[in-house]
Amino acid sequence: MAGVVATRSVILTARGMIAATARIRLPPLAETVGLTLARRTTATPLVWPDDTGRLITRLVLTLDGVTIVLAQGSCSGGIRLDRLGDEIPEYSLQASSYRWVDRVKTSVIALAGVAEVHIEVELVRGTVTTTAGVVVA
Amino acid sequence: MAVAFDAATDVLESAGDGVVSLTHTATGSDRAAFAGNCLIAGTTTTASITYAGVGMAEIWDFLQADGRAQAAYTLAGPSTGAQTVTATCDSGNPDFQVLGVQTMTGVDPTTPAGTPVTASGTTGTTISVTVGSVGADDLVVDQAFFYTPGTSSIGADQTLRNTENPSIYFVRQSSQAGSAGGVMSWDSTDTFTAWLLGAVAFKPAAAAAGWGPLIGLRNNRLVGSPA
Repeated sequence: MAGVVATRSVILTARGMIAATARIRLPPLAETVGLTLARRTTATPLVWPDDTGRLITRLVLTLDGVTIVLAQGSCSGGIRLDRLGDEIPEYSLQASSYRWVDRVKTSVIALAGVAEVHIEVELVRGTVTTTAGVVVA
Repeated sequence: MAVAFDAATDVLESAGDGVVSLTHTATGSDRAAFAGNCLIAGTTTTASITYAGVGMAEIWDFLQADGRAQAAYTLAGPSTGAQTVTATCDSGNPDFQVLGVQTMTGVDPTTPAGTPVTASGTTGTTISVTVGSVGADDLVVDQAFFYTPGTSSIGADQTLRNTENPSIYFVRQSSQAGSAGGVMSWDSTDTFTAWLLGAVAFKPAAAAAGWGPLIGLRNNRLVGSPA
């Protein structure tokens, strides 16, 4: 079951600025890591108010001291509608990576002695004020 | 030698801008990569997938009503080590996008994959495609993108490699030894009300040539070992 294990506010005002969470130790049974960002909706007009604000998002794993960007995405501001016309309240990015050890599906997290995750969001343009969450499942 | 599965990595992005990357680590010799991208975004489909900056070859890309699309790409000889794989939609703003990557070893470097097959529909409790001309040493890889209100299950001889559940949908990638044939299927306890399925067989590298008879000169006389 996915769960938010950390949150932080994000206020980015200059291109290239990066907001990151602290590294979070992952339990050996964790398989999926993710991040969430609150998006503006009609009900939450103060979240990410700049429509031009655009971010690059990263899920960063550190496995036994070796750091990799497990996944990277990007998102832009403004009220976002899905194909049914409903407002989307949240951006999310989640990823998993597996190897097969003795024919058993094994997460790269479980293969590491010490596994940690943190997230980064980097401002590409505009300004962004939102809340970020780290998800572990 | 049979094609062998190596590793799998996937990423799901919701409400993004249509460009998503992951880091995948391939190992072994005679490597090949399969990458699939599934999304919902009106008429948007996949524009490209790159592996360590190298463009992969598209083997299918199809779009269903209501904006469901899935594409798959292959590459022979992907770089080893941790590499970035990037999927780019041909226009932005999908509701969600799932990129899944599998690598395998022992693959023919010249013609890594056979002829792909695809199918789609909006009904049935079993969905399947049949890959033709599958050899016992092949590895058949599929990508399924579907919705069903029931409980889905994988074909008996398939091994689940990547799985994501975007919104109400399900994205699955699996593989199956060629010795089990070319049928790739998924079942549900209820109707698959939307589904897109594609599969392709990865072909084995030619067996390494054995040592022939050794022939040489000794004291100006032609000598050799038995063949």
